[in-house]
Amino acid sequence: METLYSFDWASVKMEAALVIFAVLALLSAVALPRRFQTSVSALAFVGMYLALILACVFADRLMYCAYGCLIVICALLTSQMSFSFFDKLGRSGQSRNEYIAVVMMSAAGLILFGNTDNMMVAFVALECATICLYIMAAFSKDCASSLEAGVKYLIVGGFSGALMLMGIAFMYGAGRIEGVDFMYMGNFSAGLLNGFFKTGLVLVFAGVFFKIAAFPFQFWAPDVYQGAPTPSSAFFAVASKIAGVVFLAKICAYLNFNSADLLSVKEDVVLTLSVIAGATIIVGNLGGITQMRTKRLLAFSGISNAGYLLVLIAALLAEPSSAYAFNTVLIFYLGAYMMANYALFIAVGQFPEANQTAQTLSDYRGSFKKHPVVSLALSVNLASLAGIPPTSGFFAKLMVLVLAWYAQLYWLLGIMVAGSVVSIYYYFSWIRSMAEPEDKTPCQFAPTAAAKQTIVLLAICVLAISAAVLVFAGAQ
Amino acid sequence: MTECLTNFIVPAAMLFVTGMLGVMFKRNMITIFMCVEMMLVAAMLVFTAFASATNDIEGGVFVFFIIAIAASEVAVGLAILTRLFKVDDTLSTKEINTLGD
Repeated sequence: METLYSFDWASVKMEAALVIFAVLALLSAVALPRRFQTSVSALAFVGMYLALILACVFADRLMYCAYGCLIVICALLTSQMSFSFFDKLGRSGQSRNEYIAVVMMSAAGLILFGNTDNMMVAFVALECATICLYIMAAFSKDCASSLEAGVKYLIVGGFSGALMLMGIAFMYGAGRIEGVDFMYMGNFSAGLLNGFFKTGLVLVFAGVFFKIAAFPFQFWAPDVYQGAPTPSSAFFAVASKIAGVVFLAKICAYLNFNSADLLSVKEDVVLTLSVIAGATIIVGNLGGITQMRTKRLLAFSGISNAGYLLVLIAALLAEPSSAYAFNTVLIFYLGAYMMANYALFIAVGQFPEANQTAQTLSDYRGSFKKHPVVSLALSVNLASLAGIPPTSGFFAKLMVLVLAWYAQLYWLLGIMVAGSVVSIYYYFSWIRSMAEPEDKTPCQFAPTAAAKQTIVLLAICVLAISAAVLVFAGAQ
Repeated sequence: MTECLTNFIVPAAMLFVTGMLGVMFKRNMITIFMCVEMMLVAAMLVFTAFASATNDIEGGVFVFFIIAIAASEVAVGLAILTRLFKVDDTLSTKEINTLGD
């Protein structure tokens, strides 16, 4: 019998740190007067740094700690972005601290969701995180576009949650009838011939595809990212996508198709995942081509990146012997994606109006002349998303391609290369509009000192990590 | 056992599909939101049916978790919907369309 003392608290150290400090920050934000609100924010940041330190010092499971660190870094960057957002909105430090507390709780839920082996815990953690995400989407509560994004996310999130829950219910039932505990992911391979279980697994996958905005459940992403406050959009685009992908990857790593009667099931699963991955890449990139609004463009970029990540997962299923390399590639890809995306979302937030709903690429005209260093750093990050050679985005895509090659998914590899080539067009139209001279209206792009530093730092990380990869590859 | 299960699974599936169709085709945000909750109720019914048919407590306990989650989702959802109604003066999906190209 497990008690409060026998429970392995170290396995939830990051979630615990985040939740405890979030609650502390929330209570003190309500209790303390206005002049203490900056210290309350500092308290919240202490909690997030503590989670990072705990993960690094007690790194027991590498994948868990690496994934947790990515989510906490997302929460840190979003909280940092919220400072200038709430200043522009003219709201007090108290509502900013409430926002940061919600971000931290959501991050804790996402970390637990990506790490648990139990479907019931996964569902509860996911819903805890998602409810916080609804609040984040609708946080500017006098702005119609933000509320509309919140409602759309609410409906889509509730729908996908219900699909997933129905799936879990069927899996539970199949497990009870067969006498196997199908709530534990390690037993999933035993259920692949059971009709109830298969239906359940399909529903769970559909629910997660909603979360990571994969085809055919990608339609909500552009609207929600466009309407939500920019710090929240960044968190949706990066943190919740990372969590969904890691969850899928974990299920797929547990599936094994070794017995002979499962070979046809394996072929079907790999084919279905590949088709979804290919369609996601095509839809994301085609949508991006004609897109002029920056936040929608980033949403389509996120959709196509979900496609590339699904290619990686399909490759894992087709070739399970690549499992060791798989985790490294996954974390590397997610890290590269996170850095480039956050740099761009921070840049999107650096305009005088609070909600960048209507911001287009042409608003960036003349920024190279006005802010050469930041624009150069942004170009590096855009090149990383497009997968241009010296950046880490290139190495991430290359590794995915290599794994897909080993798994013999050649046509998927072709779609991925073609999609990347198309994506260069729209990422570079952003760089081009930064390089163009400004029109009659002067360039509104005015990054704060903190934003400048963060964007440049992220660009340096994007380059430094690829240098590290080169050194590592040279040493081998 | 199987017969007793079918008596519950079929209505649950009907509830689930009704909710799903409602989400897709209804025009009022509140109705859509209620349909989402209906889908959750269908899943709960499946859990309870399996739990009682196989004499297990785990599924029944999980239903309580789901009720708690659904309640907090409704709290947040209704707050957002009432704000939206105050700002936009409508809850029809036809008229709420500030987002887009």
